[in-house]
Amino acid sequence: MKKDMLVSRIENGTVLDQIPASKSLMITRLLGLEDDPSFVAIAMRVKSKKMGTKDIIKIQGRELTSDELDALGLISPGVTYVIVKDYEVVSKRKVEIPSEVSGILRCINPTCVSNFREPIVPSFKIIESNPLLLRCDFCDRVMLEENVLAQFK
Amino acid sequence: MDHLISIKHLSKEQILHIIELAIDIEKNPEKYADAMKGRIMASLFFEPSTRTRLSFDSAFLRMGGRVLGFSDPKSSSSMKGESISDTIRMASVYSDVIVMRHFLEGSGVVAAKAASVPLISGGTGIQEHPTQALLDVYTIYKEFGRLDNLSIGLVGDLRYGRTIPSLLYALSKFENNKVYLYSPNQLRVRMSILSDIEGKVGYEVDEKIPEDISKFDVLYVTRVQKERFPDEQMYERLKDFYIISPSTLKSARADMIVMHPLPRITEITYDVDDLPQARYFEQAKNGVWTRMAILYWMVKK
Repeated sequence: MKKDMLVSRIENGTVLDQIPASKSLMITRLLGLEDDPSFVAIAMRVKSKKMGTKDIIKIQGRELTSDELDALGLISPGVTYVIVKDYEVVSKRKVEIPSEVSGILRCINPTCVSNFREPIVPSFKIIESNPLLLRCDFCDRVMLEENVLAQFK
Repeated sequence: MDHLISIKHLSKEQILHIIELAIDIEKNPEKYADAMKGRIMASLFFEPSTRTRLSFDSAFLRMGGRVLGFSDPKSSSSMKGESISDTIRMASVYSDVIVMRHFLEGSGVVAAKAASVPLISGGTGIQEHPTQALLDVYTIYKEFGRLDNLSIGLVGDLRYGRTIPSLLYALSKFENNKVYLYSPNQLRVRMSILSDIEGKVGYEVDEKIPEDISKFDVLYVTRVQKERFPDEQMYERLKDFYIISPSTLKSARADMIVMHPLPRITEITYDVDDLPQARYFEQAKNGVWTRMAILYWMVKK
């Protein structure tokens, strides 16, 4: 272990690195980490050569699902997703903005069918990445980045 | 299984095919008098409707079919909390084709997923009303013999009127059409619709209808719909924003037509009805022929 490490390495699980400073709390909400019984370490405003300061999240014993990675890509593209097994990094990649997302967001249109009890999963196509614009696959309503972020506040 | 929930899914050729079929049905209705014999159409209206529901019923009955369904959601099990999916799954067992109107946007997508017989949308919330657009283009085609190179003024509530997106999508399948979108600022066409038609239909957005409307082939007027407003005051302020009267039409060409999906309230004065340009009652009548063609096409396909 490096001398300046605040949090010990995890045996198995996920490390999210290069998180823009202070965005980690929103990500913990997105991933439901408050309710996750696993060991979770959140480091905020860690010094970074590339970013100045950054946040880091470590989650023991959990890897992210593809839906979770899509959602992460929506609110914070560029985060590094690292999978650890037996204290070793087994994969490492940048999280990208997905082309579609399902099961994570709710449509902001109160009269969209996806907000009612039907055997369907809300889903959206990403029509612009910067600034972020999404469109509901059911009602065609367009959502902005602020509508997405508001769902994880 | 093919369903009709959005004009976006139809090709230009399919639209023209439905029109040709409607023309033949209008000319030779007796040829189709038994086309739906032994078949049942389920007519499920979760939101009140007069024209659409009756013209669908009439269309199917005129082809010798039978109709079942409900026109008042209070009399259906949706009041007991049944999902759209379950209702449609059941209706698929009871019928050979389903017509559904629902007040929720996206309900057509959900219903189409659950249906095991062809499903036709009779309007979904403020989203789309594909069969209205088909009868609209049928009316235009009968008048001008074409669906391209048209100049069309659209007037009224272009934001919540579900007919508008469908009509714009239909016009976007053909070449060189231009639309002039006249509405109060609060009732402009939704951005998502404009981005869908971008590059396919030329459009201009404005609040005021110009004095000189001689460039228009069609003036399409819509009602400001009270039921779509969250706020009564806003409705009161906007309901009489446009009133089309003989004086509005002074500069109109003799071969221009005035259309309206009906019901009309105050937005077209009664004395327009007698002008040669008035075509809205004709348009409503075309609904039966067009819906016969749609039903025939979807059931026989």
